[in-house]
Amino acid sequence: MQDVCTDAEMIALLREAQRSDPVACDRLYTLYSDKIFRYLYVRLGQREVAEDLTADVFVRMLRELPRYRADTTRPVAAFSAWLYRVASNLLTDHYRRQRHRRHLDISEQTTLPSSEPVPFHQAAAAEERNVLLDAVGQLGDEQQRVVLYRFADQLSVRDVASAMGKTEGAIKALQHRALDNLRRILAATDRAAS
Amino acid sequence: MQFSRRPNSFENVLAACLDDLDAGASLEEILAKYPQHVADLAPLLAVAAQMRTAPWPALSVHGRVQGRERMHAALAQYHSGFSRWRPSWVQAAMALVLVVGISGASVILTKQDWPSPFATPAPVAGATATSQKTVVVPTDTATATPTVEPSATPTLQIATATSTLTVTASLDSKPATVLPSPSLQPSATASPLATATLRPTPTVLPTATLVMNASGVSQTPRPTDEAGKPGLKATPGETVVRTPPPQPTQRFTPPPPTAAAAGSQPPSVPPPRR
Repeated sequence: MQDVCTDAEMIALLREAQRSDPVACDRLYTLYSDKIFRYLYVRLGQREVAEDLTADVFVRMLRELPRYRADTTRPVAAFSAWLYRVASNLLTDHYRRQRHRRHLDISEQTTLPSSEPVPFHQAAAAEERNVLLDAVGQLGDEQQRVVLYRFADQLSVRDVASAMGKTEGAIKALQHRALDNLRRILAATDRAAS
Repeated sequence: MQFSRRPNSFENVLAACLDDLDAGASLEEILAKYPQHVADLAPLLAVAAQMRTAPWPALSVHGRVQGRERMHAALAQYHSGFSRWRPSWVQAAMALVLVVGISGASVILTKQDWPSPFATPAPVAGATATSQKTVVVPTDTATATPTVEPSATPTLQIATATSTLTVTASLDSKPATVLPSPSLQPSATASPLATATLRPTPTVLPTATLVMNASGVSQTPRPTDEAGKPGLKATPGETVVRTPPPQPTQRFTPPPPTAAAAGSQPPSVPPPRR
């Protein structure tokens, strides 16, 4: 699964989409709907809500797109980051409305915050769902995106760097920390299950 | 696990191993290439392999169709909003410009008493093309329908758009006697020097010259004298400078041409005799 849109294509696509061209908007939906859905799903853990919020993201995209200023130096990465911010804002609104947040944010700092095991009730909740998705849902925002890009979308380090607007070295560091955090979370889950 | 901060360190080794994993290499083959990092690499590569083969969720068919429909519905709503708004705005702006333009043109034309620019006379045979358009209108078409304003201002009327000039008042050098309109004030004069008589008689001048500027909207009748020079300068306002047209009843007799006027040398004066 590859993001086949090049920078030049993205510039033209955004220009057309900003003129409310339905074909260009549909193309953006095809390119990003699954990515946005996965991003929301691993955080929410509820398919219906994630699908509903995914549709909300693209409706808001239409509303905000006329004011969006395309970055001509890295249009794909900039637009991808912008769309993830839209999804993140909607997710925050959703949490605010629901008064419920199941997201456990693991900070992006290099040294892990603690070696203490994950609380038991979280591991027990993870058993009811897909263990891997729950583990990814506990990562920080950037680590989640790297894991989703790198393993779900199977993008190369270079493509992920372009999509996130970071250097390849930064992506390598992020995927290292993400894998190490996942290892810890999964180990804690195993211990809790046993 | 300690993370090294050196460049080309463990993060690069891990990235290379993940590339090999993407290429289809087995965990054993990959770990065999980096024996010094086996302890650190093995658990991370195991998680990575698990992630690569995980059943990542995707939008269901229903969710995909629903999301796309919602997006296109919102798009159609925006489109309909624009279509309702844009033409009304454009039409209002165009109507405003049109009204202002027409009003301004009407005011200007009313003030300057210009004929309508749309009634541009068609070219007539004999018209000379100079910096000013001069159209010689045969006086046979002049009518004797007088329309004399109370201010005794000579009035020019363009009867049609085909260059037919109707001269409704002619100037005479006699004292002002306005006939037959009883509404005309006796004190009306067309010139401060010579009292003009606006007589709506069917007097037909030999020729009437219609002079228009380049824009074709200013017309000044100039009856020509014998020499063919303009003898009457009648602006659309009030001032009329008159040069009497040649008439048989004119009492003015020009002085006989002198030798100077004839272009010869002045007569030499004979020296006094002593």
